[in-house]
Amino acid sequence: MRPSDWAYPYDSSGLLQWFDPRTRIISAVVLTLTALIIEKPQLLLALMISATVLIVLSGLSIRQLLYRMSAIIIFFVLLLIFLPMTAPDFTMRSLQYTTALIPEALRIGLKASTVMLFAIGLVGTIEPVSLGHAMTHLRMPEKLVQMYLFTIRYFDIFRREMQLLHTAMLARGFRPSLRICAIRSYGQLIGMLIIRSLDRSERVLFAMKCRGYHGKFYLFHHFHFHRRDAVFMTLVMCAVTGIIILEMKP
Amino acid sequence: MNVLTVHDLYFHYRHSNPVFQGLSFELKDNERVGLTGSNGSGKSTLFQILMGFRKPDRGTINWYGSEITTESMFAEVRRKVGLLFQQPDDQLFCATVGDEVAFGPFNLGLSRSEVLHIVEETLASLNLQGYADRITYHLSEGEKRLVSLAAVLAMKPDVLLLDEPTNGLDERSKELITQHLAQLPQMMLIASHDQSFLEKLTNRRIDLNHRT
Repeated sequence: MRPSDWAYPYDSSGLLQWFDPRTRIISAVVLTLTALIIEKPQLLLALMISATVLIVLSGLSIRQLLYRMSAIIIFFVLLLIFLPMTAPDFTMRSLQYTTALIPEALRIGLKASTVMLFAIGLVGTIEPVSLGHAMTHLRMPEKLVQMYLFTIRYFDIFRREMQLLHTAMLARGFRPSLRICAIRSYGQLIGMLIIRSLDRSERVLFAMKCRGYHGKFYLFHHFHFHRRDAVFMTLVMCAVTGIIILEMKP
Repeated sequence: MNVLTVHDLYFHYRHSNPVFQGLSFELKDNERVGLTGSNGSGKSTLFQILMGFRKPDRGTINWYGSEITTESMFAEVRRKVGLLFQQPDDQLFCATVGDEVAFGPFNLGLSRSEVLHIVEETLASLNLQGYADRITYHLSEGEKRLVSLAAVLAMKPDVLLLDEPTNGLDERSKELITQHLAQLPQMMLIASHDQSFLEKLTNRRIDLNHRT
């Protein structure tokens, strides 16, 4: 993996790439909220299945999916172990495992993974720069978006700079350890990075002023809302309405 | 007429030796001047002073016949004078090439359609057609340099200040950027160590080692 590949981790052949990023963000938000308010396990399962279908449509490989889901899987395992321990009749001495709270743990795990799957499938596969632009078009705070876009732009450069400095240390016989002198060297590395970053930010500001910057960012990119986006949105809304009606039924 | 007159310039960074002690020179109309000097002789610093990013200890800077002192006057100067930075990564702060080239024209207050036209035209003039949607950090060093130049040229400046434009480029990219620069109509002040490059592009040299 090239250092900058984190920004382009998937091929864009997935069917979901056909849809406008804004459509995907809004759908993700609506579906996530629905998953959060639903309590009936059958409906949750239905939502989870639709999330899985979206993941298949997004063109993400199983390996990438597992990598992204790893945090949630670990969370789920820990939940299964520890939640039953919070039952009132559980005692450390007997270590008697009560099954009373297992369905509760399963429900929480199901909710969390459904939300995660929606986020990964719909938002996680948007190219990061497009995501920034889509956020502006959705009237997100301009400063937030700008910070996000700067992060994308300079993350790689700082990482490269840090690797260079680290290699330079290793080249001169530095051995990573927890001894005081090694920790001091790491301190110097971080200090150097901060100084370089400050210098660079000054030069970037100069570059912006050179081109007439006066506090506003303009967007070159414009998205187009197609018929297929409208269809997708309608589908999502119908599904969500249906699920909520079923949830309200006693 | 002199486009730029620098008179009796003094400058030093905090806690270090003076960079300029009484530097004076001028850039006449339609002139292309090379700026030479050893490492640390202040070529980049001079460009930053000329654009108003650093304040000299003493001395005056005249652009287009009037002395420039305040930030708002320098902001006007920056509309007419384009600075190409030594490090393209410092200059290219937008995520895509299109955003990058459009940034200047948008700030000049042009309309969207005008900006789109300028972006297309500028990229085409540097043989960068189809680059508008490319991601800046995926470009090669040579491409980054050309995109930086496109971003500067999109503001249609009268004067170009070029800080080591061939630094760190391979022979082919160097050749390419030399060709593009040679075709441009602008007046230029070019800082470089590359003597043959300066010979091709400039009609006069200023050596900072001997002037200060």
